[in-house]
Amino acid sequence: MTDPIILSARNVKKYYPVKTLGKKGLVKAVDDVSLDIVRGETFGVVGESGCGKSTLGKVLLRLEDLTEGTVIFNGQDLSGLNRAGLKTFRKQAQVIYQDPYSALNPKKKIGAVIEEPFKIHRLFTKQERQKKVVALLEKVGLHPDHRDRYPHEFSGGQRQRIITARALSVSPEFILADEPVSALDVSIQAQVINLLMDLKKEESLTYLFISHDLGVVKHICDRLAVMYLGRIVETAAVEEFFAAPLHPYSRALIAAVPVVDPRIALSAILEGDVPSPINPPDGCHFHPRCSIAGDICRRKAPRFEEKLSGRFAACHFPLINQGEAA
Amino acid sequence: MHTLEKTDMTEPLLCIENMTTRFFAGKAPVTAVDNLSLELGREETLAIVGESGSGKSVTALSIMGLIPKSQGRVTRGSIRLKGQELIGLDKKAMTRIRGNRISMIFQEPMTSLNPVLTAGFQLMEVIQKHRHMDRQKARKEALHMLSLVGIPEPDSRLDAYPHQMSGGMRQRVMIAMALSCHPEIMIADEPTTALDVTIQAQILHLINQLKSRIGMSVILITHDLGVVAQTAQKVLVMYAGRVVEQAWVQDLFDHPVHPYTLGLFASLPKIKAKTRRLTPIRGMVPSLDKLPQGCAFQDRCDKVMDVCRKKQPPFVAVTPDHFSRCWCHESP
Amino acid sequence: MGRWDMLRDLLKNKNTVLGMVIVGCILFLAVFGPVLAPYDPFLPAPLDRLQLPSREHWLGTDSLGRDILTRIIYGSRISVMIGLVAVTISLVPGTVLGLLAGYFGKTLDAVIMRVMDVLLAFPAILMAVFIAAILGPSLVNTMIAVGIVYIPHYARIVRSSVLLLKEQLFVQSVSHMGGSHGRIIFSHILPNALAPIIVYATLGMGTAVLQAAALGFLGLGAQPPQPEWGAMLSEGRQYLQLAPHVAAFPGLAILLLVLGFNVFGDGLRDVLDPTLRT
Repeated sequence: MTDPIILSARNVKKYYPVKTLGKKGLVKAVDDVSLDIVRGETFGVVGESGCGKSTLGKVLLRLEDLTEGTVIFNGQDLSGLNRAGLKTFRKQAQVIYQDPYSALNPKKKIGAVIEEPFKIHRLFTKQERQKKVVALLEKVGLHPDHRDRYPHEFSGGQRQRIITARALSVSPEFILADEPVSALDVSIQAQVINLLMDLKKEESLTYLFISHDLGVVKHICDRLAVMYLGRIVETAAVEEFFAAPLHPYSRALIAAVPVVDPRIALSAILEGDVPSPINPPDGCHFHPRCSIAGDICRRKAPRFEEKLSGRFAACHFPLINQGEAA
Repeated sequence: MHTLEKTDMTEPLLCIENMTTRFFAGKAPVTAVDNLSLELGREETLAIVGESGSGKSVTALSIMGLIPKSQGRVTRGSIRLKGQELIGLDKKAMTRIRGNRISMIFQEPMTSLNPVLTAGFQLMEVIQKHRHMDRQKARKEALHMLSLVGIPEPDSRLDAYPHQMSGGMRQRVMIAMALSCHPEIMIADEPTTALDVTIQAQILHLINQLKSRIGMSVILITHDLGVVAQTAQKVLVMYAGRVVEQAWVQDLFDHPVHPYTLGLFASLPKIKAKTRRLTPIRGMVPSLDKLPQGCAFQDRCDKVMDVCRKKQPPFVAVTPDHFSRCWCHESP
Repeated sequence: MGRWDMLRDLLKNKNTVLGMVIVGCILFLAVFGPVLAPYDPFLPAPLDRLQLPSREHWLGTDSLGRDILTRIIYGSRISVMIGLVAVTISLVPGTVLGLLAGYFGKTLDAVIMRVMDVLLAFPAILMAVFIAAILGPSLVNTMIAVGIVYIPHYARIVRSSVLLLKEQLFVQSVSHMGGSHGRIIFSHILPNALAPIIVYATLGMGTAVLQAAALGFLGLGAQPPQPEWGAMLSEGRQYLQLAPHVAAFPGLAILLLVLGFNVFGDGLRDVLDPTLRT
């Protein structure tokens, strides 16, 4: 009975009205995005700041209303959910945030923080809840005594563990992780990444993992989507993507990550800035920065379509042959 | 491969010996930088790597003489710029050094720029003040600086306000300001951490380029080993206020020896690597006011020995140009 | 921050300690007044009229020969009660309105805050006089009048806290988990919005007593022979040249109480919510 696709988005759009100097405009934060997330995988969304990746995450979980399109979760259309349905969905899908400190109520002890989802969904008796809290703390690598402490007594990595414990408390199927390790030091970041990977296996979770850090995405994700100015430009399995990206932007993004080897110098630096999302370039949004853009790129937005078997990109000139070299 | 001979023959540009910076504002005094020594040669980039609380930013502020007097000070050691001692200089002399010979750029350029003044005005102000030029000349020089740091259409950018620019553009303006007095040393404190990767690549490339073009040295403070690999010649790895390893960049990346450095490399998600599982360093960074006796890294170290808990390890040369602070080099 | 840390921080500041001592003394008088007071506060003693302070009457006597110290001690009860009741009358509805306006926003916010603006447009004392005049002069009506006047102040403070808090990730994360509006408001927003309310309420105690005294002075508040400080001041006014102490001591009592609450409130603010300092 279980559908292999846990979350499916079709033509999702999220537009924000903006006013600059009296002129009305629209920011197309998410512009016509379609994607399928397979049960049990970690699906990464990467892109630079302002590309709409965080907004996409919020819209997919109905944390914000979408402008157009449909999101199907476990066979149910999210925009058609009533209050009770939405509450059940909120139990099935949890969120882990970039800044774990601001996601914790400074006035609540950690025990109460982790217990809260039980209270919201009216699960278990008080004694059972206490036991579960202890079990959850141990699961994420914290000490049971920590439940009587306040958030400010913890380090960044520990706070992220607390948030993770809270998210896991109601046994969700799906977790949206929005830059969960970006604020952490390298040595701690690795701890949290490993924890997330272990928990995924133990709890059979599906992750939607949003990040700007390609290195992290490579380690934790199975598949990924690259966003640029509100649109997905490429989706691929992680290994294939890093071996041979199809979209010129993907290639530039990979090339821009400083390699941890002094012998390999930075190559193929992408020129220019990300254009303003209020007034994006015509045609393919990427064409002003693209080294292989042709005439058609300036006029016509490329369709997002299958370029190689199982590999999708939105580009008039995908890097199908050059891909191997990159 | 570099050798130390080059710097041995001439007096190094910047020489720091046994510098200790302590803060007195909290309940107990805290040693943020403990006994740091370094040498920076001409047109050299020295990277100071460390995580939060390692003392890398305090090192930069100490060199600049920017530690707030009410909070702390350099309590020991010497900082010499071409032989001139900077510690104990009066405020006026230090301001002159800061403006003309050592300059600094920060992580978030927005907070370092005044939002109600145009970028050009702020740049020209610096030029006028430090190089005693009139407005006309300063404007010309400002244009020149903006094009030097790769800002397209510098004419129109001169009259733009900081909020009208992207993060990358603002960092370029900050670099232009830092360079406008032709400093001998530029200290860059996490200059690309707030930027996107494609913009980071541009800025790193720019810093590398400018270094040789105008002949300055760079001290780059970062937590990102990738950034180090792409820019530095010399590397200092700091942990809890102490330098734990120091080497030429190639040497450090090929043969890291300190357990902390090894741990950092193991916990780094690498884009070219095949492995999926990372090897993190266990535990967390100790807070500076609760450092254990002996080695600060002892509780997170896999090779910890009895002696590590008793005495601080010495900073020893593993090979002639490669130093490390660990007891493991002493034992047979 | 633990409770003991807070107390330690409070005790660090000398002014705050002074405020605590004054407030503590007045509360002590209010509770144990009848035991401590040497005379009857209501019984006239025509032979002892307008006496200067002496060994028998430490603060002298008033125009009916009643002991002023006794009346001030009894009056402290009334003042503390006025403060507590008036502050409660303004705090509870003010907080609820502020929470609703700030959290739900839009039309509800607009309606509530416009009504508050109208209330605020009148000078506080004028408004209190107006309400007291409608309700009729009495102690209870004084408390109601003074209470109503300050509702908008609390509503505004709470609303601005709520506007900040509801954008905080920890508040939003509760709704991401499926938490109800009630849970978000009462379990997450309100506890974090309390600090400025407590500070303002403490300061408000002083203001309320002052306003009540003003109403008493104008004859719209407590009625004779009640030993309300404002009314006592008003009575003493007629003998200002002959026996200035009759008006001076109740005035001094008002001054002390208001000073005590203000200084204590300032100290609380510094500890609870340093960002409010101006």
